[in-house]
Amino acid sequence: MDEAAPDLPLAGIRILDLSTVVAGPFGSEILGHLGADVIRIDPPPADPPLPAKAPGDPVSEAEGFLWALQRNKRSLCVDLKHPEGRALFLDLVRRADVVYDNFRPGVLQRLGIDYPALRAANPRVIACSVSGYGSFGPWAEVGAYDVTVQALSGAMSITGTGDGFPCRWGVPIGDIAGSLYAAIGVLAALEERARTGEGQAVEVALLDGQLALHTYRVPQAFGAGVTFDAPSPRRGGAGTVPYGPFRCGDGAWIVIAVASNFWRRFCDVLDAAEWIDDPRFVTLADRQNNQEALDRLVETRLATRDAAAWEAALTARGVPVGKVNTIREAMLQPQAMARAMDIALAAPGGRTVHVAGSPIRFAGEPAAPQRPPSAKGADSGGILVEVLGLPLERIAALRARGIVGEGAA
Amino acid sequence: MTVETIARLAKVGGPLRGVLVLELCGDEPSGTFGTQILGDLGATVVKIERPPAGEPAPTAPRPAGENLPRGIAYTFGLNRNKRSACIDLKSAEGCAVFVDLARIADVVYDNYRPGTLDRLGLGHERLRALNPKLICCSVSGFGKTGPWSDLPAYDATIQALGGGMSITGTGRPDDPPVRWGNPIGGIGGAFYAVIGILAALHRRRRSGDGAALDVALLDAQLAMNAYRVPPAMSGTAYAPAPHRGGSGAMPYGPFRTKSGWFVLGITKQFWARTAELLGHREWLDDPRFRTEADRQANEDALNEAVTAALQAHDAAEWQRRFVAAGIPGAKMMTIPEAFAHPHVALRDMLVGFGHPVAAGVKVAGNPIKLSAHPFAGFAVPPGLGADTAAVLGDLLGRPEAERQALRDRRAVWWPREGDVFERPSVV
Repeated sequence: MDEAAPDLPLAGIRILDLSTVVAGPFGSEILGHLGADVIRIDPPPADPPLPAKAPGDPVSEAEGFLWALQRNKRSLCVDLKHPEGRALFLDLVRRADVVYDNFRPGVLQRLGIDYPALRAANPRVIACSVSGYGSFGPWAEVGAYDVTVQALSGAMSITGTGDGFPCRWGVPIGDIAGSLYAAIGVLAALEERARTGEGQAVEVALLDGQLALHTYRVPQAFGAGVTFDAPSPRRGGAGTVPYGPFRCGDGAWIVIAVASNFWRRFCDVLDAAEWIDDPRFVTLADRQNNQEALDRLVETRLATRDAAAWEAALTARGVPVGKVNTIREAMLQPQAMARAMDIALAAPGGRTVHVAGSPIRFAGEPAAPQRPPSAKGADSGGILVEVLGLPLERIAALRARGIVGEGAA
Repeated sequence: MTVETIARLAKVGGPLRGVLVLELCGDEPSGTFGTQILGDLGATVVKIERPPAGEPAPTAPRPAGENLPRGIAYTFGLNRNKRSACIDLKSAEGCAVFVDLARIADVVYDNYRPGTLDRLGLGHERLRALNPKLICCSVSGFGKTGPWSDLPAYDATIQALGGGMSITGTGRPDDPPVRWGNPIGGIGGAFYAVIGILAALHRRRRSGDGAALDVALLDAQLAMNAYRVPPAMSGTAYAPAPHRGGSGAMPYGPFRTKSGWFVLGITKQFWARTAELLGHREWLDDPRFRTEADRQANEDALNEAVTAALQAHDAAEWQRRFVAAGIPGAKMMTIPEAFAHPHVALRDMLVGFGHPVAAGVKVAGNPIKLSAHPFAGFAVPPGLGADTAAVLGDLLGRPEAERQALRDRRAVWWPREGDVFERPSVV
């Protein structure tokens, strides 16, 4: 290892990643970023190398998925439906630490690579499965999508403008929370294996993940008699007022959360010192009782300047505020730039692709390197030589029979 | 200090057996949610809390069926499977007790504003000098570096700054942007903190060294924008699209039925079966709806036609029919309705406690199901300072007389009469 290279926490951990779309790959990408050797197992045929694009070419949606969720991984194309392909896969399992999938329940069993089969090959292996509703029960085989999971979990009933129209979070949190729990489960199982020498199966259902994110609302609903009615966008969790999105002079929105300890300073910044002693607004209870009047005053005042100007003025006095940024604005705001969250990667043809960096920062250590995604099958030959020591003639024969797919590197 | 002694103080068994976590967190989920995940997985999690003023009375048992106060319910949602020790970090003696705990701990997890621990003399550098194996993890709104590192953050402002709110809402032109109803601004950071801690524990077995994590809630929001970042940075504009799926799928999103909302996610391969299930085979030959591009071009007409068709039944009946047909669609549930899903009981996702104060109170289960650890129940969240004596005695070997003297001088505190669930500063 290069002396300047960081000692990545998961160096030496090999993950066979059978997952696709978002609910799996978001989690395995995090583990790859932490140093694990993540090998995507893709069905043949291999894809051609990533196409060269000119520097100004826009990055498509499909490319967004590839660059955001599949970097720091290699790809091996092997046909798991072929007995020899399955045997090859089980040979890899003997030399792997983790097998990670997001198939519907039953698929791994049909392929002959469910947890008992994996365990027979390697008792140390950790098998992590992410699915919509888990591996058993009446809904096990029902397909789950982020939007249906957000609806079923109750999260949409507490998200919206308060007029009854339920909103999903635009970010696919159903898929993402499942992936985050899966990554945690894998790491916890690795910790236990270090003590016991034994692997185990880890299972995460997307619906369970969403239910768990209700945290304090669950005992409030089941034990404190709280009913969660239409969302109230202009009132904070602790009853904070003024709160929520307000439109500024340029049509852009800022979000404020003026807890009592910030009230005076907030009034100062808005040049509205007269509100401080206004009997309608002195205490939090006063502000709640006269919320409509206060919201109108705040709306009128905030409409006199641009969102960026208010954000600057409020932050200068340490009052919590956030401009409702687009994703691009969010990546380019000074705090994000200072934390190097915008990472530019060189793509074939001279184009630059920007991705979000990892939020997991080890102070005093160099940042982990970022590897662009591999096209499907781009690393097949190298992996089979490196991990299984297969001779080149055998790889060529597997390729000729379509069991292994190998693209040009 | 043996790992066994630490493990004996864990509230539940699990893969993180023997890992000692000291929690220095306020009420917010950016801290308590993360340490709760570690506790669920078998770590020994000790909440370090401020001693209360005076001698608060124990929380009275509640007759079954009587509601718990909202603030106590809040702490139940974020503190199961933990222990509590009251230590005054502002007193020299209390601080010394904490330092002794940090010498034997594996993890110190805080979500104070950057600089707070340094002012107490408990910054990462000092703690790691005392215990090089220690993994310190700070979660804060903006992280310890950059121009905004000292600014306070709230879930709503983080959701705004992170970009997620700009793609969430009704899609109607003058409606405000919408935050996700759950505090994902805080929770997102807690997830990444836990992943970083566990990765650092793994490395420590190899290297012997701990680590110092600096997790910013804003960074976590940016990372969760995931696949939208590369197109957005090359000029694609994203707006709320309540009736359009990620790949352009349509019909999609919430629709009113005869009673209640039903949420669709109809990708191309399900269109024909959906038209049939809604009783409109003729849509398949309707030039407005034939291909996904047609449906996108005639979005308003499609949504009107689908809404009209959905008037035939209520949301629960549509749910039954969609599941039977294997088509993606879901009734929009309230939170209590969601926990009545048949999988919730099968998967231990709604969990109660046997405790006189908490009879009838339930919390969400742990979504991480491990084959080596069948679910064996949760421990009730600790009362304020309930474990102070055990932590000082069992972990630090401080004799009873000394513990008592520390309590007399208010450097530490524990309740004499019984569990106190009212905490001084609950959201």
